[in-house]
Amino acid sequence: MTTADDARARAADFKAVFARVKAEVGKMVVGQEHVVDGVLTAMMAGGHVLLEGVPGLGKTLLVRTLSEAVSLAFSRIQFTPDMMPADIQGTMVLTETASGGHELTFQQGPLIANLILADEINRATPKTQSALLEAMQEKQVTVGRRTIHLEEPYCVMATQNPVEQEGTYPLPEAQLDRFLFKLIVGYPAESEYHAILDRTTGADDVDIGHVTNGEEIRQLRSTVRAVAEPEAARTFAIRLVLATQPDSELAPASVSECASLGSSPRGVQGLILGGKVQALLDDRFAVSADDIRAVALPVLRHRILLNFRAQANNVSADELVEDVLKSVQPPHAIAA
Amino acid sequence: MVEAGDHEGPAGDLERIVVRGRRQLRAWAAKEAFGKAFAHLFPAALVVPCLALIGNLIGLVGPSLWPFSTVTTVVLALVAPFAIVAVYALVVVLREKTDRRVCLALFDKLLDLRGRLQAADEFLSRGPVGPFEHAAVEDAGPFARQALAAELPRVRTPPPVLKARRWPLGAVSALLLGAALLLGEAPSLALDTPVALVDEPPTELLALAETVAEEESEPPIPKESSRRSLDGRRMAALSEPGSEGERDRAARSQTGTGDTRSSFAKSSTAASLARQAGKAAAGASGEGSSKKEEPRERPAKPRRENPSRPEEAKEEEPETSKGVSGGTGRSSGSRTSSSDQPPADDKARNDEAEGDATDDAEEEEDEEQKGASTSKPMLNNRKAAVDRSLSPSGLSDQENDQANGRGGPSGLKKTRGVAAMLLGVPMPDHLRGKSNPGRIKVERERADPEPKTSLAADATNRGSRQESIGYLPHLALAPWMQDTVRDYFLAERARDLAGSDSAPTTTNSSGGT
Repeated sequence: MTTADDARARAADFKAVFARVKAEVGKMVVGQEHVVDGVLTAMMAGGHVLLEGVPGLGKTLLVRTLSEAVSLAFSRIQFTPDMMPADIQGTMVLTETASGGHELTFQQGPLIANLILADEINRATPKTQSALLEAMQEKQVTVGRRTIHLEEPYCVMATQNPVEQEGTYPLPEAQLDRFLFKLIVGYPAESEYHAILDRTTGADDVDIGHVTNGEEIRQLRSTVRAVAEPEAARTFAIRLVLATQPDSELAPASVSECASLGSSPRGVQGLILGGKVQALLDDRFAVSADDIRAVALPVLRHRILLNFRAQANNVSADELVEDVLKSVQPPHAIAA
Repeated sequence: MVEAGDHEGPAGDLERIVVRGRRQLRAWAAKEAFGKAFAHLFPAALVVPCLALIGNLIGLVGPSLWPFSTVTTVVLALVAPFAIVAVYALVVVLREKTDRRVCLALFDKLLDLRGRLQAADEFLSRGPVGPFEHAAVEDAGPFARQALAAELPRVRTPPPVLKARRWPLGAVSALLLGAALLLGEAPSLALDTPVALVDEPPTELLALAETVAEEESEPPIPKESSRRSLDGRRMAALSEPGSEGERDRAARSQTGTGDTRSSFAKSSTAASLARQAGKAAAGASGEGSSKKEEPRERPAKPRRENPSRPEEAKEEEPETSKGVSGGTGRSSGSRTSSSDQPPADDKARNDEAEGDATDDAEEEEDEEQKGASTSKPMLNNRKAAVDRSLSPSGLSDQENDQANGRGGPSGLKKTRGVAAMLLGVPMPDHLRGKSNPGRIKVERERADPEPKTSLAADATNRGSRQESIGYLPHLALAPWMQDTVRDYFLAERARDLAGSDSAPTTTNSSGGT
């Protein structure tokens, strides 16, 4: 088998697994196709996802269903204001041994798993939120003198409610920057409500099967990283990120006026990784500017910090990203 | 492995695509450039008429610089704009550098190939290293053949439009062309034009100009060929006895200059004399001819005096500057006021030049002025010191009108900041009736320290407590708890003493590292 055939086989495998997982999740989750695609893309790219939506839209259900489909160690953390870092990382507890003796043992927290559902993450205090930083970036947890390396694949999927802001602690920029995608979960369409009623109020239970496992997902992640990236796509991604920074020459006027902080280099990484997944799904072996453009909104929307003028004028980060996409053209592009 | 020969297929296709794309892009660029250049048709139409007009105008006073005939000029005026537009478009097209990647991006965009051709070309140029790059190159092969077979859409550029606001330029160019043709065909009519262009000077000024011409001893300039071709009408007018032309010629023959001076020189001389006449009229109009000669001598007089008295000229400037800056001296003050009146100043300078006695008096005045500048300022000019205190009691509405940077905070500024938070009414900081302690005087005396002996305090035993201390709450720990905690801390201590980083032996029964 030539190297090209090997690449074709890996790409085909990736696409098949992606489709299987998506179909399995689709058994439980009705509609929200772009959210499901985004969650799967982030998981295959090796990133974390922040799901934002009002209660009742199936955010938690989506992540729970996904954990069942991919057969990964799943843990759910319901964040509350009185939660402490030791509650999610783990702590030393006194336990009884089999011989009748007792000893202090390390009881690992729910953070140590493969797929983490951080439900209502903005209800936890910044102290507890910060406990996630190391786990999300370095894939390890340090408690006292003990450092626990987390097993791959490791993916944190957090949810937050944009409406009830009382008693919440907005995620700091450092925390937001660690999420590869921020997906907005919207209301389902009218036709989707019928399917929701059929699946949730009927007598039949939906059985979610394991369609893949951790080892396969690790291989798929390596496949994603092997996708070729031409210079044009890379330059386009860099220019997009630069255009989100208000002091940049590439920034459009709206960004210069309404943004106080732009994307970090993590944004470029997210654009390229997300674009690679898009290229594989499109039966291509090299990422293109169109792939970058397709993932620009979920990658960049939470990395732009709006200033007071934007809030006063009700300008959203999505509008700024749209402006950036209009103003920045791929290299060597020809006007229509 | 994909051999190098396998890449020749896509590489060749990509090369042909580049050639095709480059040709197409150049064609589009030519269309676009022609459209842009055509917008400048009317401005380009001005070129030939302007050149013809300028050439014919120069021909009035010298050899004509426009050698073309009327028909040729008209043809040139019609053809040249289009030629200029074509040359401009050609230059734009030739300067257009079409990048190879742009050509490939053209087909990527037209066929919606998502950058396949560009990526394959890049991987081929640098040599594919990974399996996915090999696959990308092979994947681009069918699409490259598709691109070669594809029909490129005809880009419909909008027809070149002449902007409405440039239409008047066409009329202007036609007018200019007509004027140029008239000038070119009727040079005899055009010869009088420069004379007519010059404002008719008054007869007095003309006479004055002739008088000036008498004094000027310029070398004769050879006659120009164009002036030889004066028409017979003008010659006849000049030869008529008693006519104005005859008088002019007679006057010129007396001065010896005649027609040697050009009309420009005449007009400039007349203009300068008109200015001088205006000055004279403002000063002393109606005086005799001797008064009229006075302005002519003025510019010459300082030139004769300056070499003889260079030190005096040097001294004049410091005096004037002192007078302006000082402003205290009597003489300087008068000098400053006189500088605002140029006629009086001129008069004073003429008076200065008359005798040395006036210079001596001026030197005395300078010495007085120097003495006055070193004297103390008058005490009644002193102003009170600016209040720098920030206390509200020092509020005043007076700004620092001197603006010399030495002023304290203004009243407005004092109303801000910490001072604004203080009480508006000053509060006394001492009790009423209490006398002021007065100045405190500190005197230091030199004295060596003297050691003093002190008895040592013996430590005594405080003894033990005899009575009961009362109820102490006791944390009831089970024995196994006490043992566990004691074992844990003993293990911790042993580990610290051993200096090892290993985990305690009592832990790690589950999970963790």
